[in-house]
Formats: sequence, structure tokens, C-alpha cells
Amino acid sequence: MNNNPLVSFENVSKTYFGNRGLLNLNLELKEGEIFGYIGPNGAGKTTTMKVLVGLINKFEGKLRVGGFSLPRDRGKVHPLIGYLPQGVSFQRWRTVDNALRTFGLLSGMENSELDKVIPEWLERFGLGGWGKYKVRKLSGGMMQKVGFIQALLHKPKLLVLDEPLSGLDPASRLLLKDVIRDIRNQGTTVIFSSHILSDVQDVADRMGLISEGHLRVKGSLEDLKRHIGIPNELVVEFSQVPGSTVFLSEIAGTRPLKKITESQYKIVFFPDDNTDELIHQVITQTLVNGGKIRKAGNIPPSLDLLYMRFLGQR
Amino acid sequence: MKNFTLLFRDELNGFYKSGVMIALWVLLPLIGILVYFLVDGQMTEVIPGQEVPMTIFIGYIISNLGAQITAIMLTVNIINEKNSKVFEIFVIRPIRRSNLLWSKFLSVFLCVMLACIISLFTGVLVDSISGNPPSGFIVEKTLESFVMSMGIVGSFAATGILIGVLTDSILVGVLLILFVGGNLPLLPALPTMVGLDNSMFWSLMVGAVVTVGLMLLASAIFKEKSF
Repeated sequence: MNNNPLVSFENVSKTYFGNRGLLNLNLELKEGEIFGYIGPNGAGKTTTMKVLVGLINKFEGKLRVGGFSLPRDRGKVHPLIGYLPQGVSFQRWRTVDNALRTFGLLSGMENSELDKVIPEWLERFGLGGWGKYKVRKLSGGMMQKVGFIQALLHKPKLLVLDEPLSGLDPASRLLLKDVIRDIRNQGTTVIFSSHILSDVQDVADRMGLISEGHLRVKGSLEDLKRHIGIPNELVVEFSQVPGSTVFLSEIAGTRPLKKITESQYKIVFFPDDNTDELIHQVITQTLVNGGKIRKAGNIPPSLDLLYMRFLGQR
Repeated sequence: MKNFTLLFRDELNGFYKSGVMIALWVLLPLIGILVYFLVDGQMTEVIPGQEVPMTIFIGYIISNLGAQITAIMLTVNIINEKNSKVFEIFVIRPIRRSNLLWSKFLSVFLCVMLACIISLFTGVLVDSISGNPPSGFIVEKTLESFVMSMGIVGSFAATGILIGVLTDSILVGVLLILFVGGNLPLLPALPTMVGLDNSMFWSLMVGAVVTVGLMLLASAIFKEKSF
């Protein structure tokens, strides 16, 4: 990942007839990073995406992409970007090949190049042989994949994906996440929004939580944990429950201790705990008390939990 | 220019593949013939003692019907593509936004112009078969009618595009064309209606000015439009 920002939002705001859309967005996207954008419906995710790709021209603040200013230099920014809108659609009379070829040509590619790359991408997305079919014959998931291909066909420097994984089956989601990682490894910057938080956690280098038009927090998963204040947990599962489990209460001290099942306990760490030392104490005391451990681990909170806590805080 | 050619070819392809083009080329002449026989004997005379020939009649039918169909087709097409987000993946390409509108306009205009030519030839053919081949006067009137038709079709098409850009509702768009937008495009018919000398030239000029003016307005609005 390069540290130069490819995208820079400076106090970008967009209101709709006085109602908030996006408020004072400050965000930089570095070259070759994947940024996951999370937030409830109507939070401002799509507005951010549309401002970024030049679909919304009137906004306050400064936005630069690849050194060019939007909306003034829209013509210079557009060759740099690929965009997958939420609920992508094509004219119904088009075949899959025709749709991809048209958008490839409009993005400056040559027919000879497209002859090679279109079948390759279709094959990779499990759509080999579908090139000659009309897009109206495609299922929602297949349409989403074709939409994804049109966005990345011309190897853009910035790929903007609005809910790219919605409506896809688990195998297709895995495939798309692989592709997103691959193109990031080739130097493309990716920003994508999703409601499927585990997907964001899987692929994003950094993420941002937005609500009511404000980007509330941004950073790595660790940064988000710190900001939202959810500590890690120690989950211990016995294969042979010790004669007494009082030692768990002693180790936990004032930390919350919860019995999940007869053989499973959970201690919630304090943020400044020496977690390795506590785990060591639990293992040692289990053995002293005649128990055996199946597993014991330092479990970070999931993004889902962070997200729900974050919404609860708001 | 390369992108414009691509978009223009693409739009023609779309009209061809969606069947609209064929429908226009076949239905427009057929409707003209049908209406002519339905109103047989009730037409105003062009030459004293003679009924209106099919050739001229079809010219008038095309002016009204063809032009309105063109406008509605363009409005519905643009609104549909806006609402279904098709435009979103076009306007983020390195192309001029106005090219999207001009390519639609030219492709539809070309299709309807061909439909008009086919219709007029059908009129000439029907007149000839019915033993009433068009005279020099009728041919001149037909040409005048064709030029006026093209002026009206162009103006209607540009109105259709402007209304398509302005509204997001198909119902509102169609109503606007039928009840509001139907007046401006009739300007190219004025020189003929008031009997100006060289009315063909003036119809052409007025049609061109109205069409280009409306298209420039639509392009300016579309350029600044948010999606």
C-alpha cells in the first residue's frame, strides 16, 4: 500500500432540500487500500459514493481524486474510476458481451483487448458462455457480477462499489472478495459499502462507520474497537471441568465473568489488561484443579458487535 | 468524436433490437393508409375539384403522429434509463454527457425520417396504383410536406429529450408532451400555414433553430444534473 492519498475529502457536505445527506466528511483513501464503508440505511453511504464518482455535482467542501478536483475536473477523473452502483442495470436489449464491450470502449479500451479480457472475466465469475445472452435473461446475482466486471474491466485506479456483495450467494461473495483483494494487490484503491459486516471485516484494510450523514469513526478494526470501547474476551472451554471453578472468579476479580455452558466460561478483559498473563493463569489453575482445557483464547469483538454497540451509542 | 460514433451506433442498435425501428417503418405507413381510407371523401381539397392525394395526406399524418411518437419514445427512454440507473454507468465514463442526448436524438430522428420516407413512398405508390399518379404540383407539395414533417419531428424529438431530462415520472413526461410540449414543435409548420414565400426553406430554418435550441438547453441541464 502506498501512503499517498488517491482520494481526499475535505469537509464535504451535501444536503437535499435542507435535509442532511452528508456532513463535513473528512476522509483520505490511500493508493492500493481497501476501505469498507458501513452504516445504516440512509446514513449517507450512497451519497458519498455518488459525490466521489461525479454523479452529484453540487456539494460543499473540497474533493480531490488523483490530484484532480471534483466536480471541476470531472472529465479528467472519470478515466481513473470504475463504479458499480447499487442495483446496477443495463438496457434490456443488450447481450452480456455487448454491454461489457460498450463500456470498455467508452472507457478507452480497444476491441482487440476486449476480445481477450471479456471472456477471461466472464470465466472467472462463472459466466463463461453467457456472453451471447441478453442481460434480461440474467438472475440478480449474475447481473451484479456483470456490473462488477464493467466496473473493473478498464483497470481503474479507483474502484467504487456500492453494496457489491448484496444479492450474491456465499460462493459468489467469496469469489468477489478474492477479486477485490487481487485488484488491490495490483495497486487499485477500492472503496465499498456493505451491510454484510463480516465481508467488510474480511477484506477491508480500514473501515468507516457513518450514521446520520456523519463519518463517526474510521480506521482499522483495532482503531474501531478502541474508539467504541469494546474489550476483547477470554473464552475458555473445558474438555474436563475442574473440581472447583472458584479460581475463575478469583482470576476475573472485578472483571465480568459469565458462565455460558457447564464447560464454557467467558471473562471480559479490561482495555489495559495483560491478556497473555490472564490466559496463562487460567490454564495453570485449571490443571491444578484437575481440569483439562479444550480451548482458551483471546477473542476480539466482531465487527457486528462493534456496529451494534456503535448504533446503540448513537 | 469516436465516442459519439460509438454511442450513435449503439442507440441505432438498441432501436433496431428493441423492435421500435421496424414497428415505425411498418406501422407508420400502414396507419397513414388506414386513416386515409377511413376519412375518405371528407378531406379538404388541395386542387379544386380533387380530393387530397394520399401522398400529401400521409405527410400530415406523419407530422402529427410520427412526431408525437418520437417525442414520447425519447422521453420514456430517457426517464427509464435514469430511473433504472443505466445512465449512472454511462455518465461516469470519459465522455461528454451531451453526446448521450445527441446520439439518442440523431438515431431516433434518422429512424423516423426513414419511416417518413417509406410512408411518403407508400403514399405515392398507392396514388399511382389507384390511377392518380402524383403531378409536379403534388410532388412539390409532398417535398414541402416532408421538409415540414422533418422540422416538426426534430422539434418534437428535442422536446421529448428536454422533458425526459427534466422529469423522473413517465406519466408526467407523457402528459407534458401531449398537453404542453405539443405547441412549440409546431412552429416549423407556421411558414407553410401562413403561406410564406419559400415556406420550405423557412420551415427548415425554424425547425432547425427550435430543435438545436431545445437540444442545447437539454444538454446544459443534463451536464449539471445529479443522479
